[in-house]
Amino acid sequence: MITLGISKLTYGSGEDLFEISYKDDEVITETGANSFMSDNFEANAFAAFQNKKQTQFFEAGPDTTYNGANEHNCIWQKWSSNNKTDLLSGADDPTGYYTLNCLLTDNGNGRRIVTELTDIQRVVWRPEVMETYVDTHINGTATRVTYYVINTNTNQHYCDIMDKTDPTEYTAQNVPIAPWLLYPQDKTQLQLHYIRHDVLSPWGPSCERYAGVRNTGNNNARTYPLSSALIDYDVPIGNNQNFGFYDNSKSYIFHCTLSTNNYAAGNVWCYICSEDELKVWLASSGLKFIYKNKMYKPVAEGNIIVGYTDDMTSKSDWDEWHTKDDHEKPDAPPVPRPAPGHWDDILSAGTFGSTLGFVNSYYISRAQLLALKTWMGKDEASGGPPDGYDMLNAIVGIKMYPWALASTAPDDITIAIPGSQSMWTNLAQSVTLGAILEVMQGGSPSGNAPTPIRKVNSGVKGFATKAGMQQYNLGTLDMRQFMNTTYPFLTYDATVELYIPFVGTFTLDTQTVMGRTLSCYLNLDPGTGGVYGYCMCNNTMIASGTGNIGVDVPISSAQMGIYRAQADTLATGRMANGIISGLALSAGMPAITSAAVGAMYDARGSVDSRGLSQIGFNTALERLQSGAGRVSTSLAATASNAVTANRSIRQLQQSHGMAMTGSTGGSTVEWCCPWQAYIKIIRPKPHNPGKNYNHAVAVPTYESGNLSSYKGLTVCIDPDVSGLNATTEERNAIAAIMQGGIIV
Amino acid sequence: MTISVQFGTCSDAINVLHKKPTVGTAVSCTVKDGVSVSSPYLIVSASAVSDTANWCEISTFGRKYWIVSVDDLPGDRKGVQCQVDALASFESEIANIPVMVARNEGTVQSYLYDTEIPQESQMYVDFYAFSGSSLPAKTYSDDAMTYLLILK
Repeated sequence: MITLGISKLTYGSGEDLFEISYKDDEVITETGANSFMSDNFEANAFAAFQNKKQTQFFEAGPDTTYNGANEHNCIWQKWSSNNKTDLLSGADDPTGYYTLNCLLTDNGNGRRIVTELTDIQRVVWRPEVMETYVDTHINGTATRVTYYVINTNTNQHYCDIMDKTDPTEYTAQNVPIAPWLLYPQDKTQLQLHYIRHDVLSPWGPSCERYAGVRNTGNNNARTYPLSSALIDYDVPIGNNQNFGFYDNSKSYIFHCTLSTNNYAAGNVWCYICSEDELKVWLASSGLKFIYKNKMYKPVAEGNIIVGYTDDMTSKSDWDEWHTKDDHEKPDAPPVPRPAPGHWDDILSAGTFGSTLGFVNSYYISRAQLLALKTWMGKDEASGGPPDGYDMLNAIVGIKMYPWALASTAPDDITIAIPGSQSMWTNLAQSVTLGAILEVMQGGSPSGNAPTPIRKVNSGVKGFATKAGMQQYNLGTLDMRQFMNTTYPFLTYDATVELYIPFVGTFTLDTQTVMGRTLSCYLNLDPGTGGVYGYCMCNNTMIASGTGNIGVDVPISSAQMGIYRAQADTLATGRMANGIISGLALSAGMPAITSAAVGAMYDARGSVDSRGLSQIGFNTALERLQSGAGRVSTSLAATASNAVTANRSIRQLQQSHGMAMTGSTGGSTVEWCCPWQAYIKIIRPKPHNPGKNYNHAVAVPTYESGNLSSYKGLTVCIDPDVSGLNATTEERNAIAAIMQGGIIV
Repeated sequence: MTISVQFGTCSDAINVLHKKPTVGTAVSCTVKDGVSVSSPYLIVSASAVSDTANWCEISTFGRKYWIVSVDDLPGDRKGVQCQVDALASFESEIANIPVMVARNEGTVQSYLYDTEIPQESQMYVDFYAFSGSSLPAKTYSDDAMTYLLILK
């Protein structure tokens, strides 16, 4: 209890004067009539006030004095069930802010005594105080804290304490009332928010706070103890103008009226703390919204909430979350981002997407691919593409995936081709390769008018690709299922291995995962075929790795030759890694050597010194080298951006007349792995003897409780049998049996 | 001194707290002066106690006893030597004793080492799959595959 600067409480004057002196919250002396200690205080006080009008007041101490009608810090007001009645005038005064800066407390002897008097807003309640209701008003006229002392009968007496330091008491204010409390614009989108239970009591962990339930418009307040753990925000009940925060028993923590001024709150009522405390509490990220499926936390400057951010990358943002319903954390919080930005940005910022880059991309089925191939093979008269144009040139690449990928609505597959003029036009005279290029691009070496590039509808439907990565939830595994067994399941000697499909296996720390829930995810970048798999445990990433599931489909014959060569070496077992994907070509580099091209590995994992020249690629490379500028290649052992590589290849092939497009293909063998994440536990096992005949076996417990709460053979440590009404001999016998093993 | 005794049988072990004996009707018997409450010697008519009785309850003493031995006495009487069963006699009080339990048969406690229960030398390998995956079921069907077609 706080008693600030109060040593004496004075009531009345003259013959009605009485004083209460305090020391350390204890009443020392009490003199005078109409004593607070009187059983008839209430009636007497009422009568006294009725008779004395405004001359009756309490002097709160040396620092506060009665100084006119505006400093109503000492006026007792009796509040009826529906209206507050001004005892002075007897008229209803629903907005009256007469204050009484004292608190009546039941001292347990059927009496109420003044126990607290303060001129600040902050008051620490003692749980033994009878039902109280705290209402902090922050409105245009004054800042105050109101304490409602509620009796069990219908009379409700409340004490209202003024903030004496507020110079604007009773002065109307036309400024935004609570600019520090901003809320999302569309409150109808507000769903839930989570409050960390450990920041519920910013005034100290030992402080018990009681909040009053107060539906809007209902002044018959009741009090309920504040939940210490679970808080929910909800769209206001029954009143579109207000919103509030309340605990799981619908006790308000605070609520406020909405304003239309920059979505700052209007009047704010805080039920359990002062305005400053509320500011600190909300600004300390104790408050978070889920708004339009994104989590927001406040951005505070000097304890003033100036906005909200969805930047939830700090681990502390996800610590100790509790919900109203099940104490569980929210489902799958985002993985902390490696760089500033939002998780959605990462997902949408992949290298691929039909809206990104300058390529058109489609997800198609095998049947659709075959249909497209059929169309490409038709002549123009039969409804195929324009004659004279190699449709393979329009294909940048084809990748194959083992399952359907998320896409958008179906769309016609259209192919952009140069003008209808045959590439063989104007070849009455020999032309250089440059001329052919010019023709293919729509130009004319002879000065003929260029023909425009046009798009041809293949008539085959495809699904335009979605932008960004695709994420898959590989599921969860609750390691707690291994608890609740008689014999230890996981010991320090146990090994836990995790398998993430397409990524690999990982050895996990047994202690890290014991008793926790694991969640695995797989992110796919369709453009490269690469996957990134990871496992989360208690919001911590415990394993991650990369892999590849995208398999390049060879398009041209040269490509097929290379692909077949790979397949052949795979068949003979001389190549352990059959994946060659992505050719990054650049002009002006040193000549190709097999080493520069990259190494092929045989089954033993050693470099195949034969290099690519042995597998049919040499001819193609030689042709590339014969053109303008020599090239060098580098082969990536893992998937790379086929789009980038293919563009370079295609440029070269156009200048050298090569018909090679696409990368050199991948391998579907990686699809053979299990598509399900699992863990493997290797552990020593305590021998279970099976049926415990004669209750002969008991396992370590090392816990305390009443003997009756245990079943079966129970071995006790130093049992205390001194309370038994038995002889010493009997007690000793009982203790001996309990220490040796008593069967309960 | 004459007391009232109920003889019967009990098949529970001595260290069982909640025993379930079967007792007959009360009979009157005589005890020697200076009888021991913890190990009384009862003199009863021969028909009052059967040859298979191993249990008796003496309400006068408020205790329950094991029958240690039975003597044939002249005059168609038997002498029954009893020994108190402290557990049964103070059953409810004992059950309410707060205790520190070192071992318990029914405990489910997974993470305490037990030096008494032998550990098998072989290692066990168990596999546990994650549940709730959004990946499709594994298949090699051509129809299930997706092709990414990239066009210029």
